[in-house]
Amino acid sequence: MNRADRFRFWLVILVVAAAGCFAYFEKDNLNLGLDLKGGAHIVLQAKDTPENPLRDDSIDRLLAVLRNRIDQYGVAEPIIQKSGSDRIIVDLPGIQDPAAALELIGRTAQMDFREVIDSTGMATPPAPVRSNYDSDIQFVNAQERWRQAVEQISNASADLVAKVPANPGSIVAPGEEAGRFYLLGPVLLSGKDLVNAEVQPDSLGRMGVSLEFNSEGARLFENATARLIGKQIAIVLDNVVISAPVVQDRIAGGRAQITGRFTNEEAGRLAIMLKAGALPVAVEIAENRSVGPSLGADSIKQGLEAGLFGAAMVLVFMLLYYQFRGLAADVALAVTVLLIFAGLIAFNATLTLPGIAGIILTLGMAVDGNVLIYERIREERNTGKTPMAALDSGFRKALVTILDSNITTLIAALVLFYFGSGSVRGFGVTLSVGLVASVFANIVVTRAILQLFVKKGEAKR
Amino acid sequence: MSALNLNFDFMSRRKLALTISLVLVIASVILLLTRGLNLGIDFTGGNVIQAEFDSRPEIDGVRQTISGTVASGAMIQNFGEKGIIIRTNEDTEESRENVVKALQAAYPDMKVTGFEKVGPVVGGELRRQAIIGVSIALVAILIYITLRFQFRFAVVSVIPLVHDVIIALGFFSVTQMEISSSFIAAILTIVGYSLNNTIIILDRVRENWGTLSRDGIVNLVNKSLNQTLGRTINTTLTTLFPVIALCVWGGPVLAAFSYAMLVGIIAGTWSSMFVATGLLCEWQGKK
Repeated sequence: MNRADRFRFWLVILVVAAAGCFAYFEKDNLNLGLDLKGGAHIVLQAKDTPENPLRDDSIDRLLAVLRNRIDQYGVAEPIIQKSGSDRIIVDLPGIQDPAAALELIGRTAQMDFREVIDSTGMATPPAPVRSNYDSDIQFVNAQERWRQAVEQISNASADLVAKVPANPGSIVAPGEEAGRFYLLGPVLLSGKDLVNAEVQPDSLGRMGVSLEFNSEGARLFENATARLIGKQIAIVLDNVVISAPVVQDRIAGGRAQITGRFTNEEAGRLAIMLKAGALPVAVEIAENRSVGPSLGADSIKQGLEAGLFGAAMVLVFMLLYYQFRGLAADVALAVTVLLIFAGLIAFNATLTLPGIAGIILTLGMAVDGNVLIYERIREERNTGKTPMAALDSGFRKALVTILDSNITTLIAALVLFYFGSGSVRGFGVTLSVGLVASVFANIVVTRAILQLFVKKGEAKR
Repeated sequence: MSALNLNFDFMSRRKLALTISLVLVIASVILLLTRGLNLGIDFTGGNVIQAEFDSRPEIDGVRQTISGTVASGAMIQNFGEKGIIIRTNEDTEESRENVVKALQAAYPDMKVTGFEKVGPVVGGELRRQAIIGVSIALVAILIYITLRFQFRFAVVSVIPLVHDVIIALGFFSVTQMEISSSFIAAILTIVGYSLNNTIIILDRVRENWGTLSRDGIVNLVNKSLNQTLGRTINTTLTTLFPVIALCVWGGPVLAAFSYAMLVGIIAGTWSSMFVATGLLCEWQGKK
């Protein structure tokens, strides 16, 4: 083996090992589209109405509201993302009742300020982990303590619920921390009375959020703060307590400041959520798709079976027609598939059913490189060259063809990736990854394998 | 067996081949203008409901049941073994809920397995995006081929792409299969496949270009086609295997995608071998 060959050989080993490890350890991060795993895909469009005109930060406010609600609803791995300037895409995998989800998402945000009458003192502590304890006995004791704490908290929240009848107009609402509940008095003022909320450091440089009320809100807020000095006022967005500051003083003039140990991000998030409650964004549902998990499973199974069968036919054909070289092509094809999956995970692409069909098709097209090379080598052999020389010049001549044809297609794929969105964009990713993977498999993997064995064959002769 | 010894005179029939292609393209365009395409809700907006029954009712019965709730003709199809698909052009949530309610009243064993609603704005955008994306891609390809080969090659490799896409659309107009957003993916794959094919043949033409003055363009193209024939046949086969498997066993969700690919690959192979090369012969011969 000369240096270039050795380099190629080790490059193949390295890339395959790296891609294999990456795909194996990160395999849970492969995003399956909703058409495969079932769930709801909802696109919301912010509406420009006279009461709620669209502003630059409308979509951020809407995002904050949606995250807040969906977190409470308890969907595993929801995807909530901006699309363009006035749309939000919400993907809720695996939800059983799309109508309820729609109800939850389509509502307009509702914010109130309420008095905190009582609250459960602590949030649910994290469950103990075995590795933090020296012995099983200690671990079991810790688990027992944790269980008691959880029970205590749930008793405490039940106690709060029991107090509701005695306090007219009161409600029990969860806080953002898991397990913390508040018993809240009647509405003091509503989000409509809040004009603005902004991040503003206080005089000591600590991060805070400043609030600005309209005249009605200023009056109500002054009355409330006068009555509640030393107590907490809860700010409730969609029935979740997003902040419960303690009233330090009576606040007149319609300007207030919430201070605390905020980081910059926390303060920013709170300000956005406050604004979301103050300036609710009206939405309409632009797109709504829901796939039951059974349909998803059926279509995966059918698509995969057909695909595997088609791929098997490709493998067998190559083996029959090109024999030993066909085997090398089949190995290269396996490497292509591995690289495609590793690439899809790395680019965070979402695999959909048409995507699977596209990959299957890529397999058929990926062997094209091998076919080109082998036909070239055959031509070179016919001119009377030795196997090794034919291999060399065959690869060299086929390389130009393979690069030109794949780069032209890659241009198309990248344009789709850049200009498209949604399924068109996803297809661009899959196609690009497939092209790069198959070119690598064709010109590097195939060559490394063939060179290894042609050398041996020549040495024997 | 050796690809080198083949010597079919493909280009003697180029006028016939180009005429066949022209007729197919014109027929497809006429079909598209008169019969049109069966655009799915991804493009038009509307509602689709997929439902499963323990024992599937007759489609006419279903039509009767929902006739009071939807204004204009709903499309109702059997789907899989126990399911049906209902498609309406009304793109509101209420209209879908009304249909589901009416069905539930008439068929208590019905289960909604999935639904889709697309508003009109999204549909228009998808169409616009597809057209802009494909146009920019074609221009970029023209530039690349002009740089790597020559302008003439660029033009004769882009024309077959348009040819393939129009014929695939014509096929969908004849069969009235539904066009969804995955159809766009299929069309783009066809473009990629056909382009690949054409470039490989033109690459061989470029390689043989030195003998142009001795052989003449027709012989040169014939030689290149014969030299790449083994590759063309094998790659077409390896691509058709999975596509045929998807057509036969891929299930109803993938059907439109798979058939679009099948037609596109056949059209793409044909156009690379005859249209791109035939046009090149005609154009080069003129000079």
